[in-house]
Amino acid sequence: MNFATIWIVYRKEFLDVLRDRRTLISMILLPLLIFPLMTVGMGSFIAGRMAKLEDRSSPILVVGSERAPGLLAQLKMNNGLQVIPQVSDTTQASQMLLDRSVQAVVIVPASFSEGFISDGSMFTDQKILIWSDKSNTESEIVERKVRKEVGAYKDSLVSRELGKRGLPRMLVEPFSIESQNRASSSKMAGAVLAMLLPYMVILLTMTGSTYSAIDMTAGEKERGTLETLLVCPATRLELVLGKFFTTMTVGMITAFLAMVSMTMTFLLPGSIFAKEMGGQLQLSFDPAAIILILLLLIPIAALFAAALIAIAINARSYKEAQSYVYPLIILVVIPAVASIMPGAGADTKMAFMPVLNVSLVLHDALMGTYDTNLILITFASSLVYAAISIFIAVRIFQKESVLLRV
Amino acid sequence: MITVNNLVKGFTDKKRGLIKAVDSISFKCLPGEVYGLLGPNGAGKTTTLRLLSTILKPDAGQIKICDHDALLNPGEVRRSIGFLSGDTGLYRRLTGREILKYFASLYGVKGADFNQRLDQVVRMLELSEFLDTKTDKLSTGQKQRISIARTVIHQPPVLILDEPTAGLDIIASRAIIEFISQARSEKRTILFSTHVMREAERLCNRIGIIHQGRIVAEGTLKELRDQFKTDDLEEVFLRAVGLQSMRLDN
Repeated sequence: MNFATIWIVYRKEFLDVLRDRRTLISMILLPLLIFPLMTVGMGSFIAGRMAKLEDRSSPILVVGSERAPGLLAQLKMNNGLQVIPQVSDTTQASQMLLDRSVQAVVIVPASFSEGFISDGSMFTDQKILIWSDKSNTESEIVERKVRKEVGAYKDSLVSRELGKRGLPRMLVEPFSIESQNRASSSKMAGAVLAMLLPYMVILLTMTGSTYSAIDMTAGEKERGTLETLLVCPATRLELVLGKFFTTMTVGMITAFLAMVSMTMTFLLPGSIFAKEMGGQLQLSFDPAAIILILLLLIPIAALFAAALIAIAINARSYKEAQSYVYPLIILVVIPAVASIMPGAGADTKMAFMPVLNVSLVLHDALMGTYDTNLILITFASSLVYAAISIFIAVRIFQKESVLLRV
Repeated sequence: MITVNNLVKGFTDKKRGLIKAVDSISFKCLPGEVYGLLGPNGAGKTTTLRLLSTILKPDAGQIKICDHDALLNPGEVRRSIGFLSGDTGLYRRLTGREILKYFASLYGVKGADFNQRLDQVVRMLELSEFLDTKTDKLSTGQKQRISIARTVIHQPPVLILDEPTAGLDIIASRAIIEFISQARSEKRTILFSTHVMREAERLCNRIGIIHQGRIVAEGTLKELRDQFKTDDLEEVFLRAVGLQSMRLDN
């Protein structure tokens, strides 16, 4: 094996890559733009849509409202609710809820009367039902509004009765209960990012390398340049390694740019994400986490490059190669997504699973946890998988039937 | 010099089983000689040339190119040959100069040597006008001239040309034919496959007629004409492969 020959192949392939618009888009443009677009676009889109739903006046039905005029008045006071004329049939009300002509239904039972507390007559089974459709976000929001108003109505009834009897309100509510989230908004955002970022970076590394891997294998077959290359004194191993290192470099550049874009978008104070969060956000990621991510992307980029080349060389054409590679992308997405799973965290067994290990170790690092053993196992096992993939790619490159299949 | 002895290469086809694409082929080609492999599509021409250029490995037989054994020393064999086929593509995002530099460096031709060789091929093939244009902007004829330059950039003593004029128009084919004549006068060893009788007639010192993986007749043009008792090479060919021509006056 001659390193000078590998370097010659590498330099030529890299020059070729730099002139390929498709690779440039997936290698440079996509990783740089995806994070700001995701934040600004998605953030304001979701926030805007939620606000819109909160502000909207949504139609609701009250079945049996004649038995609870106070409740009806309370509901009507809320501008976000629009009580539509009565329907007394619950079957019809249910149908209207499910076909979304109303967003919630309040059912006052037949035995209900507002005077029940003073009567002392029917203290049991006084239940006011609220129906909602949880498959519908708007219905879910309306349910919360209705629940608040029904609660206020209940309080007003209790206060009235207490007042009548000269008793203090303290009697029924000696103290209040409040839950507090002690995590700062930046910590919350950090947890969300630790879930999303490993997945995004792994996926971008993969998609970034895809075009160049296909172009320099199946693309070379399709254009009729492979045969000329095979007649050169360079050995198959040198050719594969030259192409492999080029693809790996492309993957690393994609990953690096994704990291830069990610840091600028999420991690810096005054970043787009911070502004989206109302300027309050002060995320402080450990620089060690960023260095660790970059280091772990080396074996991941190597593994992807070798696997992509081994797969794409089997295809006769660019298009055929694409259809071979897509299943691989899905195969990568599943373990990469592991960092999003609730309770995600690396353990020794998982540190041996390709892609999954990197995803989990990155997740932990972003959450501020470093386990040296797991990091080393992840790094070493990923390199071993990459080496196996390269070995397979070289073997495939030596198969006459594969190379000359046209 | 090329020496081929009892070369055999088979392929397994899912439907037809084992096919002998090359079946005990032997021939010799000397420096300053153009040896033509003449045969219809599927006769085994391309497989033979791929075996000689070491892209494929033979099942049996021996290949020697410039005294190097193709099985024992494929690297030296590859260094000694320039290979060109009709469907040879070029890297379309690179310029002619970049492509020539790439291949030259793979053959170990670098620095001042390369510049000198580049000057020679640019003059010989008149490349200067489009040498720094990306090849996807070039005409078929211009691309073919770059391909020829690529074939000879390392000054190979042996040229292996697989239907080099296939798919080319008259002007582009003429460039190839002139190139072959030139190479012959430079005492290179030239192996050339074609199914175009006129080209074979015009260029080849000796012709091997190949059919179903075997060389069924071999000799100079004159020897073949005498053997098959006709002046028409097409007729020679048909008689050699065991077919009678269907002439209206017959």
